[in-house]
Amino acid sequence: MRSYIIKRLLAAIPVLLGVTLLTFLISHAIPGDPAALIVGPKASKEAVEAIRIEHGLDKPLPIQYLRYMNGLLHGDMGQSIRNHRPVLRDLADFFPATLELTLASLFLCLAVGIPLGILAAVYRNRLADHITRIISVIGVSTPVFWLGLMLLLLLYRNLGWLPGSGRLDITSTAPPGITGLYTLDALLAGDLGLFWEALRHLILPAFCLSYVYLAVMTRIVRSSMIAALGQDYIITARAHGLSAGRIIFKHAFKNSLIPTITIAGLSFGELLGGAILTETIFSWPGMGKYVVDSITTLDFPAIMGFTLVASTAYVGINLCVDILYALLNPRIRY
Amino acid sequence: MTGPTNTILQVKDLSVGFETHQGPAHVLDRVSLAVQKGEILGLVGESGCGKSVLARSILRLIPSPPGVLLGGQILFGDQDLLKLSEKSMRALRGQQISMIFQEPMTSLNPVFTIGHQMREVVRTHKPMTKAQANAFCCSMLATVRLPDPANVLQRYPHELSGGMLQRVMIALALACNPALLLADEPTTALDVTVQGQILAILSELATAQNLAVIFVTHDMGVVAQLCHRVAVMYAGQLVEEALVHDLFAQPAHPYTQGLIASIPGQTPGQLQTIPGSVPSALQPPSGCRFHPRCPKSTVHCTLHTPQLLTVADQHKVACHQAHNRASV
Amino acid sequence: MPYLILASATKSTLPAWVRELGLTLRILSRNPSAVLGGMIIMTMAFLALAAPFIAPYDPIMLSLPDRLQSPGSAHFFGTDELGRDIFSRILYGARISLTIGLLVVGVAGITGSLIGAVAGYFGGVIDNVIMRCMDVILSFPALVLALSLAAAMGPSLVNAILATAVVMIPKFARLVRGEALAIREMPFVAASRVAGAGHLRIIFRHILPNCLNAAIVLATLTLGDAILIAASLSFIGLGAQPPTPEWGAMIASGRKFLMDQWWYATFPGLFILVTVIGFNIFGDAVRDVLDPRIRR
Repeated sequence: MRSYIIKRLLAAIPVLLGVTLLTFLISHAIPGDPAALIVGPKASKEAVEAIRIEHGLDKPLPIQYLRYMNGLLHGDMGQSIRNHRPVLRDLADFFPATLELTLASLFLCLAVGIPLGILAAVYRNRLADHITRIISVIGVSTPVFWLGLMLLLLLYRNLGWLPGSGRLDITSTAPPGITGLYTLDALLAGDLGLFWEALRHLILPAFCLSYVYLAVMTRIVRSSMIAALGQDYIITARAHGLSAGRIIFKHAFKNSLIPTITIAGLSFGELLGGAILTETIFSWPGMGKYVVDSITTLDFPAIMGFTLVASTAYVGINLCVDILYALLNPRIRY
Repeated sequence: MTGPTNTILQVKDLSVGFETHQGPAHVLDRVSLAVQKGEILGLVGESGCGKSVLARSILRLIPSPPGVLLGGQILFGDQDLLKLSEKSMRALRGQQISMIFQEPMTSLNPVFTIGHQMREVVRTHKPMTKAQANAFCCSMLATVRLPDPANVLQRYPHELSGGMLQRVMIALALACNPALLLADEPTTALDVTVQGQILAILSELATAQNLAVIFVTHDMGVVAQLCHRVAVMYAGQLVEEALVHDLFAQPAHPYTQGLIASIPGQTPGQLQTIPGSVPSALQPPSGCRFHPRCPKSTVHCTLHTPQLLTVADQHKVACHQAHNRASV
Repeated sequence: MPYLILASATKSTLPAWVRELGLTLRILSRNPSAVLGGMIIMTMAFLALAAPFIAPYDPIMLSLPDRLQSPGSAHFFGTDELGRDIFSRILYGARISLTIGLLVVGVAGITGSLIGAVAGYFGGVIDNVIMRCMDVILSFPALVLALSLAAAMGPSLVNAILATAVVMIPKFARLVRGEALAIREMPFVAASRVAGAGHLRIIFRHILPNCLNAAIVLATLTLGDAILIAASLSFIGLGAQPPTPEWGAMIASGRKFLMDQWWYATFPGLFILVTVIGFNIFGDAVRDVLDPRIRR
């Protein structure tokens, strides 16, 4: 088991290197003079030249890449053009909000998607299954940003049930930051009113973000449950007198967990992508909104920093999924 | 000899169908048989004759679409199993009637240990602590002669061989001392040497626990080795039933004769076969279902279905020719 | 594939691929999903093609006196902040979205298939290097990579199409590589080589044509996603630029007016939804029929 984990870790390293390389190459495809961008439009030629030499922009590409990697290892992703703060600091500031949103969405995906999938599998080809299929197709086909707008229209403007932006009401202050997740921090601080407020702000964006991947999750759970329920050991379990509930929720489900977890892991990465759009719609102050703001101001260090962080997180999550996979499936551990 | 108090299971006119795209298929047609306490009844026939369906129907393991009960009764003691609630059936399964299957390699859930699954079954039927269950499972594994039972309990199914797994399945099936064991081709997927070991264990345990067994197989050699009595099925019908010695000495039905003749070694230098193939369950032949392949069939056979009638002591057959011979 | 045998059993003078197409269409016509999806696609295609003829207004011309009208008989879907008829803009937007979908899938399909064929056919180091590159691309969440590419290349519709295509390439590469690995072991490839065929010829004459079915299935399934990603890019400002009536860009504009002029952002999104549903349902049905790996 341990050697499996080590092998997986080692396999992830070249992928991470590739990610940094690709990000570096993309950032060098940016039109315009990066030195001029850093300094600003009013600078003199000498100032631009000085910046160019200082950042090593006159050196050949491989050398620049090594400087870039060196910087990364020291936590330096460059400075945001907008506010002249280190990009890494910016991202660290905005990360907890995105984490809270993504975790809430993942929770919704699993909490709704898994039961729906099991339902569709157990009542295969009957009404529950057909309804689930329709929900799934719609979910996979919906533009996340449009869904958010429609939710805002319905639940915020027309019905007034839920707030439309931000993590808290404008008048409130954030709870003492232990985890950075407002809901959790409010609970830890014992402030139930604030907890409820943070939760109300979280519901719409979390649901919006989760809807698409919930659809995928449902289909995967359904097909893997159907496959599991068709196996011989299910009949054996019945012949031994085990109850239907135990057979479905323990025996079949644990086997169907394996593809489910894999998809959940992949979904998490896609959630990071979808968060970009959701945070924009709901003015949720996370990394996604940060990068969209950076786009409108052409703040390339910020954009590239975000790209790197998001894909590194994705690689990390897939690594965890691989390990979880081995924990669940005793035949995989080599 | 076989009084009503000794009969543990009685199947009466059981008919089962399957819904297929092309229409209803009749898989079992008015099958009747009885099993005595402590007797090993062999159920033989080619693939597709319905013997597995019969065994599974006893425990009501056939899923209801597409399976359809068309009629009959299955009496266990004085209860009709076909009329019991699912809850009552569940109490019966694994406790009073058990079953083992053909593929031991896939009979257990691959993601749980052997011990976990054994304890689960045992504790479903008898409340006991985990430690007690462990001890009980170890002793069960010892009865099927598995070495190092404590170690086996910690293994996953894919770590054991087919023979070992089948012993585990037997141990599980017999854990609660059932009155009847249904064995659905339990040795077909195993090597010949392992097969012999499994049969020996089964025979031993059956005698020790006064266990009745319905042993489904297509291997006449196994039947000769293990069973007390034999029932032969063809195309969803029971065609012959006799004590094992009588069946081999004087097979009455042409199909049985063909089966015995096709055991390798019967005719030196040749392999005998029964020409033709098993008819489709969707459109069975008229009259006697075996008539298209029967060397002795007459026009009468194509028109009238023979009944299962006694032609000798404890020897029944469903064949017009055999009936004629017997009455002569 | 069973219907291939069926096709050759009938005596016909039409070329094989025409017969196979006919059979596929006939099988598809019995599948309700395929029919529904197909109808949606054809409706959108019709709207796109017929836009210049059926659009009641010019999609780009301003008409400030009519700005922000609610839906009515004069303007079915209302007007935007510059007085342009949203219905007409949506019709022209159909042209753009469908073109985007086809271009993305075309570029990704052709490039990815070539890459995959080369990787699978040559194997060894070439295969390894190529597949690692594909893995790297797949390590980025789709929108994140498309976003950074589009940002780097500069906001324009063409760049959005290219960026989205890059994101889709690995799927095709993996698919064709897998098929190529199997096909290159087949006897007719060996025979071809013995007859003196060069690598390029083998790839184009033997490997790629045999991957066509699976590639078509993948193409139909990814068309919907391609439209969604491109619309997302336009929404954040990286794709179509004003005054182009692209659906995603229209939603972005409509967002500012969401609370009081609900129609502006709603209708374009509805059209995206329906179009992608159409492609997804149709793609699922095509996969059920064409994918040789699914047991029937």
